[in-house]
Amino acid sequence: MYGIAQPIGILVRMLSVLFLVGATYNPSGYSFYHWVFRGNGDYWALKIFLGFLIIFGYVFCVYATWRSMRLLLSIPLLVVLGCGLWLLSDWGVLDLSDWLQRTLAFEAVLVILLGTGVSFSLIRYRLSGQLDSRTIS
Amino acid sequence: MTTAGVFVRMLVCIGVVFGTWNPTGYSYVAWARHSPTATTPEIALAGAALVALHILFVRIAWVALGADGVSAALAVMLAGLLTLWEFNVVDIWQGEVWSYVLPLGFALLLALGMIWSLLKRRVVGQSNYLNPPP
Repeated sequence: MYGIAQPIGILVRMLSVLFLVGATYNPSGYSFYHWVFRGNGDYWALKIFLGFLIIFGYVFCVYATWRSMRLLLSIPLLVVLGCGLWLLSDWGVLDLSDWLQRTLAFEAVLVILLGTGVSFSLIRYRLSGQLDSRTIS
Repeated sequence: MTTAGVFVRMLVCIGVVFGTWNPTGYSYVAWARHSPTATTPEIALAGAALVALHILFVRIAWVALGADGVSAALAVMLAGLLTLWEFNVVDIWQGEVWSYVLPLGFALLLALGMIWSLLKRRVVGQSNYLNPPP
């Protein structure tokens, strides 16, 4: 259904943000960052074009997150995620002194924050019936 | 919004409020206060999640009800409590009754706030909208 938050829709949004963040930078060495700043000078126009698309993607996600959650909900979400990392490292699941695991953990936090932000106006509309709109006056 | 949705929202609100604190000694506050060690990450994560849920629910309820709605809901609930007292269901002069009545009243107020925008849209077709959302 259009305009109603559903688990599959939230999953698709999360995966899209994961693709955006992972394509920008990931520790495997195959990412936009490595291609542009650690490769040779080929395909410079394509790199600029894709760079603009990536910047657009981040502006879109950050704006949606800021509009739907502001500081009032994004800071508590960050605190919850930070405590989650603390819990995982306390249990020994996650080793934050390891560069690879730390990088992946921070990327996961960014993906969950932006993915929640992109979904949150829809979630709130379904949860509370309060519509986020700029055009109704 | 479905009838099941009303009950789910009500149960979640009661669960969050009574999970934070209740007089039986099995609650988040009791767990954190009587923890034998310093703050563990489990306590920190649960506390952060509870604070986030309270912020979310209070904000939604406040947008839906406002000061006038909260006053009206409190007045109705107070009258309901006095009715129960009149029929000898609860004894409001017994101090420990209030440690259940106050969290329950808060939880029901939050639940009403969660439901109110949906109910109003379904019953009278008027939507609450946010620009910009708080």
